[in-house]
Amino acid sequence: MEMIAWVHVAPEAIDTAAIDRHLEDPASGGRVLFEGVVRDRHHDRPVLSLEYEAYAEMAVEQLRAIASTMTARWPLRRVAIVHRVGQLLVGEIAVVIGVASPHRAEAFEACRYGIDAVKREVPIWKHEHYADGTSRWQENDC
Amino acid sequence: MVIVKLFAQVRELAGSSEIQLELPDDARAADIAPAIAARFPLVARVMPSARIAINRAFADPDTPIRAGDEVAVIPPVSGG
Repeated sequence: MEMIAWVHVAPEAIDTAAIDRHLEDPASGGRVLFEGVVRDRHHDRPVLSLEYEAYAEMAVEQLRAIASTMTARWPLRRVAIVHRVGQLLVGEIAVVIGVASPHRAEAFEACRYGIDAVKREVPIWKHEHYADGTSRWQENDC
Repeated sequence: MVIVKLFAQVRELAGSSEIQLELPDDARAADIAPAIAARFPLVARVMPSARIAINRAFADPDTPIRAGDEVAVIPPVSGG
């Protein structure tokens, strides 16, 4: 039996092809993939770049716990949660939540739960650098 | 003596990613914020919104802190 859940926190660009391969499963009729991408503005302030800082050891444990909750709550066949850290540019992928399940409804629900839980419960912080030379640590509205 | 990991704006305001705190033997998670605020006045402002993690899990305020525990201050997160 292949590993159901794959979680990862690392500075390398997220390998979406590897995530697609992890989600491949003949018994799954639906796959949902959420990609969180660096936006070019925060409200109306142009963003040049940002860094994600992580408490990596705890972040990985929290991701594992979120993936466990997802597989316990929905009949998922595969889960992948990958978050990038370090410096990212506008347009780069910061986070991916992928799920595969026999039917689409639970795939959508579980994926939505996954990204919301990541934004709430995982010790990762975003430091945004703006075009006007200022910078700021962001906080998610949960 | 307990070592406390600091991150993001708390780390910047304290000027260090790890600090040592003297705590009583019966210290609990709720004692961390006042101890840090007393030593780092700049950090006091952000401590009310921070959570405490013990051994890589979010801790309730009354969770006891034992020798050798991995303690961390978790300011509001912004991943995703």
